[in-house]
Amino acid sequence: MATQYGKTSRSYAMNWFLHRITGTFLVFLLITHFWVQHYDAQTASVAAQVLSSEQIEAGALPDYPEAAKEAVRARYGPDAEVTPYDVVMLRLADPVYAVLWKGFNILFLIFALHHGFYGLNNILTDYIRNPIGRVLAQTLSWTLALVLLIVGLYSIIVAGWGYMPAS
Amino acid sequence: MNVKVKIKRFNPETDAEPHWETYEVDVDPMDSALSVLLHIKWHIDGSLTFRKSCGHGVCGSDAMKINGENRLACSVLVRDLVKGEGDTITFEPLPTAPVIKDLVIDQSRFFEKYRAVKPWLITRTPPPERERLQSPEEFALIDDATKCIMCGACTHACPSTWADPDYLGPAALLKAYRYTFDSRDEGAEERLPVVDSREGLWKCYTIFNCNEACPKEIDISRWLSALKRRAVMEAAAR
Amino acid sequence: MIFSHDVVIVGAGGSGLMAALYAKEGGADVAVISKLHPLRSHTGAAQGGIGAALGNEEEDHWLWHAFDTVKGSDYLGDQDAIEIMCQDAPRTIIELEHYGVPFSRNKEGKIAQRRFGGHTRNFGEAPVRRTCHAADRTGHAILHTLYDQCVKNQVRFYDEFQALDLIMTPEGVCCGVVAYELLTGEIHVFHAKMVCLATGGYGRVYKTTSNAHASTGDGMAIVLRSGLPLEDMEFVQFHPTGLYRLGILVTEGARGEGGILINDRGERFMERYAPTVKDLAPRDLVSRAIYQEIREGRGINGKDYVYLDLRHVGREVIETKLPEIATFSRTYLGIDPVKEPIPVAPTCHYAMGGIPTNYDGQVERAGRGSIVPGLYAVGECACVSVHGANRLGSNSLVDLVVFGRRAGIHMAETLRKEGRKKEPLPDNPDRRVREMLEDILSRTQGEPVAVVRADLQQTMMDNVSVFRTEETLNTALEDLKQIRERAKRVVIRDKSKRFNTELMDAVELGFLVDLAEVITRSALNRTESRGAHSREDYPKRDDENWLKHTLIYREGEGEYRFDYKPVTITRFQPQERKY
Ligand SMILES: Cc1cc2nc3c(=O)[nH]c(=O)nc-3n(C[C@H](O)[C@H](O)[C@H](O)COP(=O)(O)OP(=O)(O)OC[C@H]3O[C@@H](n4cnc5c(N)ncnc54)[C@H](O)[C@@H]3O)c2cc1C
Ligand code: HEM
Ligand code: SF4
Ligand code: FES
Repeated sequence: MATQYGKTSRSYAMNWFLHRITGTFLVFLLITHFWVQHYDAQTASVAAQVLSSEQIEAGALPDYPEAAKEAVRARYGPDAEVTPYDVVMLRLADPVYAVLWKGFNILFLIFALHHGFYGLNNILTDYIRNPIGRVLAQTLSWTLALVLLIVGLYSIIVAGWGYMPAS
Repeated sequence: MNVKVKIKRFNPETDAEPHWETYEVDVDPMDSALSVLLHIKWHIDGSLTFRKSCGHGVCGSDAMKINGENRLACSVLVRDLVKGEGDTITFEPLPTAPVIKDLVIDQSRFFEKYRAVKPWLITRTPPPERERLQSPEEFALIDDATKCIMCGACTHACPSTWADPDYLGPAALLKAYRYTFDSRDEGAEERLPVVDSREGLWKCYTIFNCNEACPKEIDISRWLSALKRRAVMEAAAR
Repeated sequence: MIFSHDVVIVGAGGSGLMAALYAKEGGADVAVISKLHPLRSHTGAAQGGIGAALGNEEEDHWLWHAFDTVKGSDYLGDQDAIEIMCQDAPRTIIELEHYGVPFSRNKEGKIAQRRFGGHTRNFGEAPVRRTCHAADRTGHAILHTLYDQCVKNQVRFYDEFQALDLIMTPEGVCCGVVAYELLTGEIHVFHAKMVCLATGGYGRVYKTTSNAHASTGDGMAIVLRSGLPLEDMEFVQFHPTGLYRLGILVTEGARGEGGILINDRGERFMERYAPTVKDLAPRDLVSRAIYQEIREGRGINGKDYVYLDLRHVGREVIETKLPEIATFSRTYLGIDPVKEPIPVAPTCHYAMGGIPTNYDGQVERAGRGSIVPGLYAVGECACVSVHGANRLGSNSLVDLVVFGRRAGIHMAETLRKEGRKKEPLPDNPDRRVREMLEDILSRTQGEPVAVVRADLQQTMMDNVSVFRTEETLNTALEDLKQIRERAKRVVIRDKSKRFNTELMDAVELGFLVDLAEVITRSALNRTESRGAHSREDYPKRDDENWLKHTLIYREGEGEYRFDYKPVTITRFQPQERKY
């Protein structure tokens, strides 16, 4: 019997499955990401330290783990100022290291975007129920995802180029 | 004991908006919530309208929202709804369903969703002379799901249904599970495309409200997860 | 509005859906009208199972089943019909299985069968496993599967339409029904070539009943009002174990698993009434024993109930084999049967009598062969008669499906062969219904429905239940006379058109009054004790004078006429009924 409900449409089984898979991968990607960003002595680009607004106005920078500072100074000279940017760029500048981290970041980017935007689309279709609205919302959200993907890919790929060691 | 009974009433024939009415009644703590409604209908206000039939939780007529939860009026006792003398019991129709009158909802959409999933045994091989064999283990797979009395408590407790009334909902999906996982059924090819669709299975986010609402204590979310796995396998095989 | 269909089935329980499905598959255009949504029908409450000599667990024969049924009926069942039912039962169950009914299975993967009261091997030798079941919700499984199949076959359903009258031509051919649509309050005419009534029982005539609120015997009352007879109305089955005060059924299975009945002194009193089978005696006997104990002051605390004790049976068995019973008694009485005995009392359970039909479901207006053209009846509202004076457990569901199926096939075949035309509708076919409803709606002074109904149920419970005497029956008739007058003046508060259940309550009260009177009159008329009809002033069965069916006709308001029909005996001569 043809009814208004349960209209067959294309299968969404694989999208749902991918959502689960990307969700699962995100657990590991996020843990690694957090570890590298915050805790690893060599690579942490975010310090645990809290700066007051006066300190920031006075141009103070957070203090990084010794190992990270040393790595930056080893490359840019003993007087180099250590900024988070430097720490990140450093990680992405090393030819061997960079392939690994860029690969990781690209994967992270794709998974997070797919996962997040697929989820967002679920929520949108829960509330937007007229077909045109749905197509519009989906097109908009996936276009945004695409833009973010391109921006993200671009920044990951070009990051660290200017930091290539001179020698 | 004396309790206040607050009922959300609405007769579209005469009322512009639903309104609350409160009745004070003397009840026995061992009375069911349905007996309380019957007492009001029979002795206080005959125009109070609700569905009922079996009176003991097997026909599925009287699912409604009682003290904020979807349940069968006949299967919950006053003593479990109030703490003491003078307490209030509230009755409302199942949420999000169109109201016909007072606690009676229009179930046509609910049953349309049920019909959509092809809720019948689909077979291709001609039947044998005797019964089709089915092992107790195969039966155990669908045993729980066949308890469903189609009361609608689950579907109307589901946030996905609240957000999107077109979502097939747990009751219809459970019915799809009950037939798809029946070892005698050969209709997965016809039935799965209906549940594996925009308004189907994937709007189940495993929220568990259905499990909590089900008066038959069916493990609905578990069976829907099994149906999802099955749909993924079929899609992968295509 | 006028709706037109080949076949109109009134009632969507197991019997109505079975007839609908087979008529539809036979090519007819079928509509089902039901005052409840089909899935809310009381067939869904049947727990124990459905009897058929499949022989899946041990040797069994349809003839053994037939013998048990005849004996159970106290020899009042028609043996030709009983033979047909027991012969048809196995293949009908197989067809149900093919339709998808989720039966419980044995180790070999076949339909599982269990023992039930009164079902024996080799003509009474020992209990036999004959009752097929779907856990402890067999009726539910059958009802839902049949509905699923009807939906698949595109049977046209008119849900929440209540039939209130039959349409008969002056020549006595049935050509439709008049129905009230609850949603809109409109009165509709269904014009049909054939009408099949499947409206179930009338348990609500009594105060304590295992039946649903909707079991008000509408079909029987409508037939009676159309000048057609009802058969064997004095036979009303009281199930011995209903939850005290509520009447909710505790299945025979509870005693099958070892439960015993005890009185206030802690005695296992069934030892005195049925020394050999004790608590597993047939329903009529156990109900009488419980009443006897209560009367002699041995009810619990002198009140009107006894205990069903399952404590010694153990948690394991209770939780696995009687889960529904455990749930009911915990939910409704707050009693855990593992630790405490369950208070029980007899509860009105089943109508053996009803609309007389032949074994193809065709309604008869008098003796055998006197068919009412175009009218069929199946299920509990019909009397074929396979249950005679007392029905065996698990024999009702089989009656529904066997005779529902036969009626469906018969209707479709007749239509095919005869290509029958619809009889033209008489003028104003809905006049009687309109007047009735307008009358109820116009009243402003009087009692509410519930008050009058409660008095009716009380007098029937006190005077026309398990034990009857001329005195109690006359008391009931006196009461009913007044109740009839009061019922004519009941006032309803809800005058709206939309979903007016109170209006239907008032109409149903009228049906209940008619049926109560017919039951009481038939009981007063039959001066013997047989099966469920127990006259203390005539304690013996009297085959010489009473081995016959009662037919009762309505001659005018409160006036009735009796007629009789012989019992068909094929193989089994009446014997004394001992267990
Ligand atoms: C608690 C309980 C347990 C039982 N257990 C067993 C068991 O284990 N085994 C067994 O064999 N039997 C059992 N029985 C008996 C058996 O279940 C019933 O006799 C049987 O289900 C009756 O079926 P039916 O189709 O005749 O009517 P029902 O199932 O009662 O259906 C009646 C139908 O008619 C409709 N209807 C009624 N009046 C009107 C009207 N005026 N207009 C339109 N529609 C109308 C109703 O909506 C409903 O659809 C049990 C009965 C009870 C009460
Ligand atoms: C620890 C890592 C994560 C895991 C394990 C995870 C897991 C999941 C799962 C399983 C779902 C599906 C729920 C369902 O439909 O049943 C989901 C939904 C969702 N996730 Fe994640 N997720 C993770 C991280 C993220 C991140 C980082 C984002 C944001 C970018 C995100 C955004 C979403 C959104 C928007 C939804 C949609 C919710 C819905 O469908 O209604 N998740 N997540
Ligand atoms: S699954 Fe449970 S809550 Fe949902 S319709 Fe069935 S019985 Fe009711
Ligand atoms: S009245 Fe039947 S489930 Fe409550």
